[in-house]
Order: sequence, then C-alpha cells, then structure tokens
Amino acid sequence: MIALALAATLASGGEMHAYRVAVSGPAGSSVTVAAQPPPGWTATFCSARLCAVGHVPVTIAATGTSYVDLHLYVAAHPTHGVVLVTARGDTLRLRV
Amino acid sequence: MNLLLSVVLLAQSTFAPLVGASQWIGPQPPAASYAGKVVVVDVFTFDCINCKHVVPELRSLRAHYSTNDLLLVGVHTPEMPSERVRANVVEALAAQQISWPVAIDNDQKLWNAYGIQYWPTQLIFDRHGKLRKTVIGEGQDADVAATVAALVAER
Repeated sequence: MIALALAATLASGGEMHAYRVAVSGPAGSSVTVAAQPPPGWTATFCSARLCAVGHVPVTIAATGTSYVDLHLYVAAHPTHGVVLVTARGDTLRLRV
Repeated sequence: MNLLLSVVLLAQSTFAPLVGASQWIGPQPPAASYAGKVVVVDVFTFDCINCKHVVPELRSLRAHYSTNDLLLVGVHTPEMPSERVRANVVEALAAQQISWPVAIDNDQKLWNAYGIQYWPTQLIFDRHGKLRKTVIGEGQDADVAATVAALVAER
C-alpha cells in the first residue's frame, strides 16, 4: 500500500509553489509519482537523487517514508489544484 | 537542421558535439577538440540540488586528467523560469565554481536529442565518440570515476 501526504509547504504564492510530499509504503519498494497539473502549469519533482519534469521514480526508504519536492510554476493563472498520482493509482490532491 | 543532425548522430551512438546548442557560457569547444578524448557531458540546471551535488566530482575529474584525455562539457537545461535567464546562469556557475564550457539549452534541443529525462544526467563518451555510459542522478560518483578511468585507459 502506497500513501501520499503533504509534508510541508515550501513556497506558496505568485507563479511558484513548492511542496514536500511524503511517499509511504513498504521499505525498498519502487514507485513513480506523477503530477497532473492544470493547464498552464508545469510540475517538476526532486527526489533525494534526481529531478524530473512531470514524474519521479522513488524508492521507499528503510523508514517506510521517502520525500519528494514538488515544484509548480505557472505560465497562466491556475484554475484548480494539482493531482499527484502514483503508478499504482494512489492520489493526493493539492489546492494551489 | 541542427536538431536533425543531433538525432541522426545519436542514433549511431556516437557523440554529436552539441550541435543544437544556441549559446555557450565559456568558449564553445571546437568540434575538432572532442576528437580522441573521453567526453563527459553533464546535463544539469543550476538550482537543482542533486545537480549541485555532482559538481565536486566533476571538478575532481577535470583536475585529475589531462585535457588531452578528458573533455568536460555542461549542458544547462533549465527547470524553473528563473533558470532561463543567462545572467542568472552565469552567476550560479561562478558561485558553484563551474569553469568548464556550458551550453545553454533553453529550448531543450539537446535535452530532447539525447533523450534526457532527469537532472542531473551524465553522458560519458569514449575516445571514438561512442556513448558508453549514462549516469542518472546523484550519488554515483564512484561509478562515474571508474567509467572515466577505464575509458581514458583505452587507446
């Protein structure tokens, strides 16, 4: 069972938002977290190892929780929030 | 046309000397300067923490090997809007002591031509221009160092 949770808001406002997302599950398991940003937004992720646009591979730490930073930046104003989804379909919706 | 050339050369698994780069910070290496050398291409963006973490190893490699054996080139493909501004890139390179040539890839031509998906990515080419290793993400300094050492030893 993979779970996503908002761990922290790193930056919020204007054309840039950043969030830390907790990804919990069985230690050592691999999961891809992807974002479905609204039109006009771009979502990028940074894990402990790399950064990527739109999605990021995550290996769950021995503690059972790994963290990824989600950056959202905008070319046009948002109309609604962003949905994070794992490859298994687990989701987390953030209002920006 | 340049992008097409990059893609064609990549399909042959040989090194295209960053023909899609529209701008450089530092002197653009002439195409002939790649010949006979191991080439490490570091694809990064300046505000990416993972990218910053690989810089010391790159600096170490550059110091360790002769310029006749190793050519290190950066490709700056921006993530955030602020990373698209040349002046910001110049300032960040100075702060991070990145003194090797860096191609500006604001339009992602090189990113797409090389099929990059992640920051940082290091492409390591042998002396014949063949791509021999793609290293994705930080924390693999030993692998990068070992690959470069093995390729430099090849004659």
